[in-house]
Amino acid sequence: MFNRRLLVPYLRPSAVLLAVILILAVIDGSHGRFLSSSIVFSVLQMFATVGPIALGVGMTMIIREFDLSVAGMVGMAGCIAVLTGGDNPWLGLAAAVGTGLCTGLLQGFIIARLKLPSIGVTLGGLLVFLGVSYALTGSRSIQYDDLEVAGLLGQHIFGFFSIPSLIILVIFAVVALIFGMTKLGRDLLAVGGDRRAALSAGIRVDTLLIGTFAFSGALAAMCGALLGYSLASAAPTGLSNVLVPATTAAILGGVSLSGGTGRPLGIALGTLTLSVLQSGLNALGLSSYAHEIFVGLVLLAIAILDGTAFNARLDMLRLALRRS
Amino acid sequence: MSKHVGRIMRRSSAVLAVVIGLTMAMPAARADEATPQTKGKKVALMVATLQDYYMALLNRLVIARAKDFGMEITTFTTPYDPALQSTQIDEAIARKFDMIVMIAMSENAVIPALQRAKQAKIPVVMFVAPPKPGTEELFVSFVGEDNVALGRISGQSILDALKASGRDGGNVALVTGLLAEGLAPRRVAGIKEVLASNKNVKIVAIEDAKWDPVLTEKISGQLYGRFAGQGGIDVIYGMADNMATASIQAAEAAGIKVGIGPGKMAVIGGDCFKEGIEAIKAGKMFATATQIPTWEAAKTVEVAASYFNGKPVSKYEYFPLEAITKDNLAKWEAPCTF
Repeated sequence: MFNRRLLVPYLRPSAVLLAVILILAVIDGSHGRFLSSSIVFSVLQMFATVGPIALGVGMTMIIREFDLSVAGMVGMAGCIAVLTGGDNPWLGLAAAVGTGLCTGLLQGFIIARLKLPSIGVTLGGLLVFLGVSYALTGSRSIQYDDLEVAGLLGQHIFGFFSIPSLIILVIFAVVALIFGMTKLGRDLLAVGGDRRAALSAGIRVDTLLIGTFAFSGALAAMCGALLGYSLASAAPTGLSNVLVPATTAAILGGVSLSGGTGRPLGIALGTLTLSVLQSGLNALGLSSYAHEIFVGLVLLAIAILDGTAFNARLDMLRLALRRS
Repeated sequence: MSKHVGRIMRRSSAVLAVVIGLTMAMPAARADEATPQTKGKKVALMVATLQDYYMALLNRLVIARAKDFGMEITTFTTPYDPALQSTQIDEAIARKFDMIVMIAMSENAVIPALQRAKQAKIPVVMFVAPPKPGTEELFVSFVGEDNVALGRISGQSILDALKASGRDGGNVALVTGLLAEGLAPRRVAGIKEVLASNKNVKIVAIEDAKWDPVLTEKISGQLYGRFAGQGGIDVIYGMADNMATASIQAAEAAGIKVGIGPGKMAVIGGDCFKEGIEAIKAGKMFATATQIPTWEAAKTVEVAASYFNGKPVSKYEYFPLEAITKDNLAKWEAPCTF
């Protein structure tokens, strides 16, 4: 029999997504700017850019850590892919993802074994990656000459998809399945919820921690490489602002900065919400600051709903209603 | 009688000066210039975030001028994010806009999206941010400044400032906009070209302040400290006037005298902002150079209209450039005040 409790973590992200779609549809009225087929491709393209970072950062947040270095990794991986993938894009992609994986492993190892706070370690990583990117490119934006690859990655597939968006959707699906159907998901939530209890229960906390940072690094690197190929260029500072949108998407998806909550599918819903907001407001002709205000208000509402004082008052209200 | 004539003439001169100023400051009020070819044309305008004053101004001016031609403008903004801009171009293609008018966030990263626009037969007019040389087949026209030439003008201003200070050579520091690509490296190339004519002039530092006045002030302060023991800096160049005035603030905080003359550091700006004009008036800045948003916006729309009307348009629509010093300040005060 279907367990309804499995749906609980997705209720809020789904409700937020539906509310955002509804509000934008109402603002648009009968103009047809928002509810159009063109917006779907745009939403999925944004999903492909923010999604991998949101998933990586979100997983580190689930274990009550944070990977700041992704902001530098996206830029560095893009530069590595463009510089090494001139003759063979697969080689560039492998070099970039390999670098992301190794540096993620290293950061995870330092955090786990030296018992250091992840913010400090990954901030160091961010600055190192940024510096390496400047050194690799001579502080210049570099061009990827194989424009056929860019053309291929920008092609519409089945009307709404592109190769990058399909890759990210598959990754989300696989990770969600592994998270939901194996012991790994429960262990990660336990590590984020109560690390001492997780250790007492025999969970290999250090291994999970190192693995999660490696996963985050590899995803950020893949995102940087795909972005570099899609835009046929790379820049030391990266070609997209990813850290804040990714963190926002993870929070919208039900991940808490205090750890122990969140699911990959929730992060996907959060990313989708953010992408719908960005593309929708753009389609409606509203400026980027309208987007920031809108997202800020949604995050504020979520923070209030998550607050312990608010929940305590809500419990008191429920109790009072039952008594009456 | 002569008193009256004199008064009338003085009044007329004042009115004439205001009229000339306004004429230069903004496109003159025009009658409806819409033609059947321009009326109702849907144009996607792509600029950076409107939190940037310059972008907000360009957006406003383009929309206002487009109204004269009956064009409908939809603005897409991006927080300087090339990936987002690429997605926006795809969206504009899917929504079948008649034209894309854009400031490219990255001359390299925009190329694949421009190719897709060309395949979809959507014309693109670029402005302000220069396109990558060799990609001319991907856009209808570029409207803006020849930034290498603008750099040459600033280079000449640096040499003039040194000469006016009674020095044959000296240490020059350049604090620039984003050097990774775009107009900043082009301007630096122009400056270097001119300064190479005097072997006694040495560029001691080229610092990327990413168009940020706050960062410029910090970098300038560090430069003054770094070169204090090496004869100091003789000329500092801020690529935009709000950067140059930030360098002035840092100099005053460090106790360095700015201006022209022995023992003073000369300051050169760019992009003529109001604060630059005020600094020249106050004798704190020697020169700036022209870049007028009212011209950029109006000309861009006029090029778009010409394209719709089937008239020929140049691939590069460059504006006339000029150094602005205290000698020609009156001519440029109004256009540079926005």
